[in-house]
Amino acid sequence: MPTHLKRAVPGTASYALVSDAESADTAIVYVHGFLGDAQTTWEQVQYYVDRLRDEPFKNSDLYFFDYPAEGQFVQASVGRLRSFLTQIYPSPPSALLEVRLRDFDWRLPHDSDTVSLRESHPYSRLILVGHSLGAVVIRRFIADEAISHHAARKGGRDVVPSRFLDAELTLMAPAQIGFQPTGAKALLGVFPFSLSLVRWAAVFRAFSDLTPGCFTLAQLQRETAEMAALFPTSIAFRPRVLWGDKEDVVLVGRFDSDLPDAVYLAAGKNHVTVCKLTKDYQLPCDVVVREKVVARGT
Amino acid sequence: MAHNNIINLAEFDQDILTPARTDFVNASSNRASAYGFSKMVGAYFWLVLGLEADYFPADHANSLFSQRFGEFFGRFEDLFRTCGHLFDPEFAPLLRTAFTHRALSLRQEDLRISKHEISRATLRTALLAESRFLREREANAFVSILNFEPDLLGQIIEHDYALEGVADVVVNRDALALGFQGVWTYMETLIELSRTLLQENEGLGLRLDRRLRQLTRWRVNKHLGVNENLIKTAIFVNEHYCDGLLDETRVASRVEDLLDDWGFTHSRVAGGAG
Repeated sequence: MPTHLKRAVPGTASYALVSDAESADTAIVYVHGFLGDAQTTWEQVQYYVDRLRDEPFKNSDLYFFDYPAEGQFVQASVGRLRSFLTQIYPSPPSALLEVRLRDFDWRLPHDSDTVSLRESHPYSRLILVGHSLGAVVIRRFIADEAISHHAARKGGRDVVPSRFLDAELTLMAPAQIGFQPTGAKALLGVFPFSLSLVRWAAVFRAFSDLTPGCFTLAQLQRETAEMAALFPTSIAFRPRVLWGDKEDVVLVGRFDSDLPDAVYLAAGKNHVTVCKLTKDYQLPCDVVVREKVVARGT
Repeated sequence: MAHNNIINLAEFDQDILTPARTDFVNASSNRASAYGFSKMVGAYFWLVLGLEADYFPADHANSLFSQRFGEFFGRFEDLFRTCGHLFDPEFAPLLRTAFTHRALSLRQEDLRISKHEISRATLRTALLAESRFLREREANAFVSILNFEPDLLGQIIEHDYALEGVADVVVNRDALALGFQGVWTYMETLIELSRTLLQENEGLGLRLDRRLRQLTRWRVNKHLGVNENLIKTAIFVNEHYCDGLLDETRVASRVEDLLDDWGFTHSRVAGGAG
């Protein structure tokens, strides 16, 4: 039976749950949203990762990206995400897979210098999972990758295809259409009380950044559609989207280029609970690790 | 699996035990010493729990113990008199045994946590919350004041009195608000884990929940009456940072609700359940 171990991602506040299965071939990166963080948004994935029937995470390393979501504009967060992804994909950092015991004063005389969780192999699959604002950050990142790649190709340069355009996307309650007019008030009800209070000013700023039809979102939708047409085999433009039927913070809707049959609805879930795994609610896992959605032209 | 347990122990040392020991050894005030000592008590019992659950390897854990707890036991008698009241009474005899023998002291066999997937999942999740909390300096400063010098809260709130040298942060109003936020998140995370364990509906889930309460609830110690100070801080944050967005009654009821879910340091105080 595979086991996942918590490991700090070097040089960041992010962490990973790393599988000890030699067959591990997938990196799943979780990007939280407003007032979220790398642990609470994704409760209880950390608990259930090895406890689900059929071991859906057996071959996956789970990364929980930590960044100041509402404290930054979308574009700044995209830069942080890009740096993070470059660090862990396609090859995980060796520091994640091994511990240098020679650095510890409690090592025993017969211990080897290092202990390893498993052999290091490059990943063959990348899944980006975003909640709320995190989904917008992921979509902006993918659009930017495609735009840069397209510009280089148009310029006649010999370009290596961006490995990130083969990423699969799972978006949970994405803020891609914007916030509901009453969303700020709704936040008080669904988000941790203390966070809502302490970060209230930042929340209001973020809300004004992402009003329906605002420049940031209109540009994202337009450019995503353009790039989806230019890269018809890229599955990064075919996200799986999960909504709760009690969504009360963001507007529910899809981009024109998204596949309507890749939309999933969770009964009785709101903006926050839609991504929280429980014993009786495993959709947040099923949607993430299900088979790849087939993109047009493949 | 043996390698996995060594890696678990290395993470525990880097995330929790070494930072706790550093804070304890470098403490420059009575409050910082008391809080540093309390964190070491917590770290000791995390180590014991990890051993029981076969989450840590025994030989390496004993070696780690011998490297990290020298100063702790050097001041044990003195500081346990100051801080012992924070913890479940079960802790005192176990710590005294460890103090006498200078060795990790496990509970009697039938009271231990067994090796099981549930135990590993619980330790992984709880230690994640613990390490995250320990990284938040403002949250730790807030808890140290809450437990060991609560009168300072009023001075900070009313006069923006800036207290220097608590866990490397200057505790002023902003730090207090951030600390309050960090503690609240920590509490909600552990409350969720308790709910998950109770859903497991097995004796082991209940036993683990009880052990987690012993290990975590001391930070916001309901049986020592922290309600009033938490409400006071919440009302201040609401007024100072949100222009009184919520009325005071609602703020107070949110705090009371959280404390109800949080519960007590140990089940004996909660009424003998478990």
